[in-house]
Amino acid sequence: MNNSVLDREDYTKNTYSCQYLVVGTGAGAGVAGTLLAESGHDVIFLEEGGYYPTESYTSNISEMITHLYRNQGVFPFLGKPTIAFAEGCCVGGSTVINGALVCRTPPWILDEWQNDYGLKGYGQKDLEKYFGIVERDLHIVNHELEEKDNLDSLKLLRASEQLGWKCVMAPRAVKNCLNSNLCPTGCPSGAKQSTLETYIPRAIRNGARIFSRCRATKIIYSGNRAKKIIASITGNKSRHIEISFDHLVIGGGAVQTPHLLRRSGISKLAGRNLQFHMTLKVVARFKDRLDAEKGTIFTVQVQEFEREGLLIMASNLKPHYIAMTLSHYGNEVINKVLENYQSLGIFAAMIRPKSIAHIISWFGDQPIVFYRFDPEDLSRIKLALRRTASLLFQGGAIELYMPIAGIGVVRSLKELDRKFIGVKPGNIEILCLHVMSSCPMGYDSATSVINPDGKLWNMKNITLTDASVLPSSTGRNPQGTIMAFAHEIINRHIALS
Amino acid sequence: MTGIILENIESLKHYQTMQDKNSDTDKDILQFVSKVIIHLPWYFYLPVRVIATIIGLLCLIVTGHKLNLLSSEKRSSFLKRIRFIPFFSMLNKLVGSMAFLKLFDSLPFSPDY
Repeated sequence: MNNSVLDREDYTKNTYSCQYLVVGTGAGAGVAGTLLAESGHDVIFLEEGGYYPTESYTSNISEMITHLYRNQGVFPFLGKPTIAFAEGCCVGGSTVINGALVCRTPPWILDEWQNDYGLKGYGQKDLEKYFGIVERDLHIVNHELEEKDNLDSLKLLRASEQLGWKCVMAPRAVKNCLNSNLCPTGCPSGAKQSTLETYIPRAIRNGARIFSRCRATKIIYSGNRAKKIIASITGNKSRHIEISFDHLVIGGGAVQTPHLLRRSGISKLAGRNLQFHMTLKVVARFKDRLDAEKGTIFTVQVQEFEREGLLIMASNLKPHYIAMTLSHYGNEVINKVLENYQSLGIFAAMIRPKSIAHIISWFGDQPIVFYRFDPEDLSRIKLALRRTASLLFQGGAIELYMPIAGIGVVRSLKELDRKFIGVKPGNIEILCLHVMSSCPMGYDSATSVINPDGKLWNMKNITLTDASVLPSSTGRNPQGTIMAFAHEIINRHIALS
Repeated sequence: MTGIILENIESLKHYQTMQDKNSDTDKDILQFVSKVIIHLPWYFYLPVRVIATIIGLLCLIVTGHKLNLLSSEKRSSFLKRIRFIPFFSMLNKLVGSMAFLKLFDSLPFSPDY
C-alpha cells in the first residue's frame, strides 16, 4: 500500500496528470475514488492530511489529535457562542476519528428532500441498494452490549425502558471491536471500518495513487471545463504542484469543498448554507461504579425525540475529556469529579438546530466560518438538556455537570429548571462534529450548487460527493447518507460517460 | 502563555502528583500548547496572540514581573482581576483544554483516580 501513497518528500515532479482527480479521502471521496478505480480509471486522491496506518495509532490522545485532526482539533465557528468544530485531516478523513456510527438516512428526511427540495432519485427505495452495499462494505453491526462493559450505554438503555422511550442498539462500522474506547483518536486495533481500512485499500489495489499532505488550493478552468488543480505541499507553503485531469471529483468536506470552489471563483453560492448538528456534553456521576472507560462509544442511541431533532448517546470517557468538558467549572470541581472517576459517564445530546453558518473565503488560505445563533435554538438546547437530565436521573445519576457556564452542579430536574432561567446562548458550550449542505443538490441553479447528477451547474467536469451536497442536515450521523449519495452520484456518472 | 498554562493546571491534584515524579511536565505541556496555537487558523491565532501579549504587558506594568515568574497566589489574583478583558475567557479556555489534554497524556504511572 505504501508505494501508492506519496508523502511530502516524494513529489519529485512539478506536474502530474490523471483521468480522475479526487479531492479528499473521507466518506464521500473514498467511495467515489474507489468506484472509479474499480471501473478501470486512473485515479489520484489528493489528501491534505498525512497517511497514518492503523499500526501507528497509540493511546496518546494529544499526539493522535495532532496527527489526525485539522488544526490539531481547534477550528472555531465564529458566533455567539463560539462553537468548537472538529474534523479529520488525514488519509481516511473524518471516518478515522468519528464514533463509527453509520446510519441510514431517516425516511422523513429523505421525504423532506423529495417534497421540499424536489429531489428525485434519492428516495428511500432509490438509496436502499446503496445502504445495503455500504453496510456490507463497512461491516455494519448493531453492537452487542455486555453486562460488564459499556455500562454507561446500558444505563441509557435501562432508563429508556423505564421511561418508555425508544432506544436502539446503534449500527456501527466495526469488526471485532476490542472496546479500546479510543474511537475519536483513531482505532488502534483497526476494528473501526473507516475508509482507511475499507475503500482506500480497494482503490489502491485497483491502481489508485494517494497524494498525501497535499492541499488543493485552486482550480484552474477555462470556459465550463476545469483543467488542473494547484496544490501546495503541507508544511512547505512555497512548494506547489499542478495536477491536470479529465474530471475532478471533490469530496473535501462541507467546509473545505465550498472554500475551494469560492477561492477558485467557480461558485458564489457555495458555502452560504452550511448546516450542522450541535453536540452538548453532559458529565454524570452515578452512585455505583460504571467503569465507562471499559467500553466503546455510541453503542445505544435514544431515538424517542429524533423527529424533533434530538438524539442521546453515551460518549467516550477519558480523564482528558472530563477535564476538557468541565473546564468551565474550574479545577476544584474537576478534582472532585475525578475522585469518582469510576462512577462517571459522559453523555452527548445531539440536536438538529435552525442556526445556519456561512463560509468566508476572502482572506488567506483557511476558510472562516461564521454562524448566527437562531433564537429558537436556545429553547431547543434547554429541552435537549432537560430530557438528557431526566434520562440520566432515571438511570441513577446523582450529579450532573451541564455544558452551561455558571450553573454549577445539578442534582435534580427541579434544580435544573430553576438554573435554566436566565441562561444565555453565550453561556453554552457547544461542539460540532457534523457539517453538511454547503453546496446543496437541487433542480434550480439559482438555489443549488450542483444538479441531481452531482455536477456543478456551471462546470461540465466537476462532481461533488461529500456532505456538502446534502440538501439539509440529516439529524443523524451523516456518514451512511454521504456514502449512499456518493454511490448514486458516481454510478450515474459512470453510466452517463 | 506559560503563566496562563500554569494557572490552569497547578491546582489540579493530578498535576501536583505528577510534579513529584516528572519535572519535564511543564516543558511538555508548554511545547504542546504552543504548537497548537501556532497552527491555529490565522483569524483565531491573531486575537489569541494579541490578548496574550496584552496580558503579559499588563502584568509587567501592574506587578513589575512576568506572569510566569509570579507566585501562584499573585498570579491567580492578577488573572482574576483581568478576567473581564474581551477574549480572555476564550484564550483561557483554549489554553486550559489543550493543557489538560497533554497533562493527562503525560501520566508516567497507571491511573488510579
